[in-house]
Amino acid sequence: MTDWINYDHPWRLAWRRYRQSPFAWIALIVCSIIVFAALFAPWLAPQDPYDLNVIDFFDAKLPPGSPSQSGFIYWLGTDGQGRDMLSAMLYGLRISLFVGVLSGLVAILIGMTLGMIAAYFGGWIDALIMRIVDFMLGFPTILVALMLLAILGQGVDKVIFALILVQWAYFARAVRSTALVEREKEYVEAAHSLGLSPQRIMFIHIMPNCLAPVIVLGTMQVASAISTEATLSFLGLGLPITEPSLGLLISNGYSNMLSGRYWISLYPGLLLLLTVFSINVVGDRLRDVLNPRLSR
Amino acid sequence: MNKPVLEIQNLTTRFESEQGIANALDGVSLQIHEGEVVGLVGESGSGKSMTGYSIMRLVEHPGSIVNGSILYRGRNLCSLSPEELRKLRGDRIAMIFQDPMMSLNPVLRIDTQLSETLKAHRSIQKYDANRRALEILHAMGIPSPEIRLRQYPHELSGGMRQRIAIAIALLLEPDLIIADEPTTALDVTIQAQIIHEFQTLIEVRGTSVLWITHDLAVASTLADRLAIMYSGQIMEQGPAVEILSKPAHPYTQGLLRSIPSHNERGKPLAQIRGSAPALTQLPPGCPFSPRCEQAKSLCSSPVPTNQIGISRSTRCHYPTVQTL
Repeated sequence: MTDWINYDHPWRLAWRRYRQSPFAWIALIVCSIIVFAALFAPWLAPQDPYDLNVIDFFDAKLPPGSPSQSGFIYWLGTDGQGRDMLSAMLYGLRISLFVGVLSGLVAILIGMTLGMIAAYFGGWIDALIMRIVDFMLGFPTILVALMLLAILGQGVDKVIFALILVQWAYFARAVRSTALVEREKEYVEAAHSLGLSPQRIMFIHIMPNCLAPVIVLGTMQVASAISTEATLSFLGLGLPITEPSLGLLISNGYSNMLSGRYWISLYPGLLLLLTVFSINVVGDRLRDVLNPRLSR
Repeated sequence: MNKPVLEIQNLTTRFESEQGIANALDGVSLQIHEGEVVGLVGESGSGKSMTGYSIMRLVEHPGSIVNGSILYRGRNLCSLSPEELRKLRGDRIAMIFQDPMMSLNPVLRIDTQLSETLKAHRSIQKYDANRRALEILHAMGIPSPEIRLRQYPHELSGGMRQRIAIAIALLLEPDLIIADEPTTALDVTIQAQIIHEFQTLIEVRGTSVLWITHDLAVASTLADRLAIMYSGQIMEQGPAVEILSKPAHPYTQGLLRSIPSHNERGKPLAQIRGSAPALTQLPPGCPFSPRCEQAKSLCSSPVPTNQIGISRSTRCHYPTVQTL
């Protein structure tokens, strides 16, 4: 039969197909660099933007390329407090990614569990969970997040909570639809005939077969969470000023845009754009690669 | 004879749909004794797989068991709780499916799939589970089992996959195995190998088997007793040798005549005329009567199960033992 064609593991096969697109390959490299930069920001940044001792107020609002009082060069200029923009961006990226990835992961965990339970048990459990999902998806993301933060107040934990709440329903719906197909397959019947418990069948036997759409959606949702967080911070309802994400940096520089000090907003904006864009390109490619209907 | 491991009495499994009510099983009675292999033979749609699913209690909505009982060592499987059933499945009663590509989980390694079954029924250490897995793969005639354990189903050939599936079913040494056409999807040579290995394994352990097949030839090499199914009813059952040499039911006679090797060269192959009726539109009385060459007026009235001989029965108004 066709055994000799796909003797390789499906994930390895997917990886090989992924690399066939140079554009997606570059996007993945960009993503890796961004994650690396965020992880190692304290070692990469020329200045600690939180350490008031090293920030010189006389360096405020310097254009890109200016030398600092203490000798090094502000490649991307400084902001209103005299902070090195590059350093502030690296630290901001760290917070943005942290918020985006953590809220995404928790949302995946909640969404997958609920979606799986809905698909597996069906009946009124399915109806109940899916009506809640419909309800959640009925509101615009940003509206729900704004309302929540207006009630809860500012803070990293609150932003993450709000982002989880607006995201889990997408995963629940995606997992449910895949799991509905999977649970009718014979290996599930075989698992039942071997006396495995419902929990094991759900989470160890069916779940891994539902991962492909979750990975695709997860990538897209992380990108969307990052931009939602940036929007919230820009509107002043997201992260506190003590933990400036990219959105907050854009917001800080916004008032200086018209006075010609474009760099305070522009560079964080570009970095945000690059991050979201490259994650989305990776997600798009993953969808092409992991969707069995598109593969030849 | 010793006590039956499984005793099915008057089992009726019904499917209700918009097209009407269909009895996939209609008053099936069957016994499987200790160490006995019972061949359940029938065309597709005759309810032979449904018998297997009903015993495993795997019949899902819109189907349900509406009547009868399934006694496993005296316990009625129809009245067990889901948890009690779960403990029996895989441990005491196991099932082997037709297509090993479908019945093995595509994303789990072979050792995971084996140890999952072990862990579901025994508290067992990882080391012991691994040793037990190696043992059973070795017994199933799988070369280099250490390597196979670390592979995924798609890395194995069809025959190898089915051996693994059988190994999983045999893992906890069940009393009863329901084999639902386990060799139908395989090449004839591999089929013979696997049947041989399977036969040796169950003989050593004294396992009882319900071997479901549409292939009379396979059934006759394996089975001690045969049950012939048609439209959800068992038309005839009894010792394999007797049924194959002296069939009593016109349907069994027709089946045996249509085996190609019984045919004379140059002559057209014998057939049973017509086709099996839809389960929603069964004729009154004997479901085979519209196709039966010996049908008489009585055939449209309900057919009792007639004992003909010590352990033989047939569901026909006019059983005529024919020597082929």
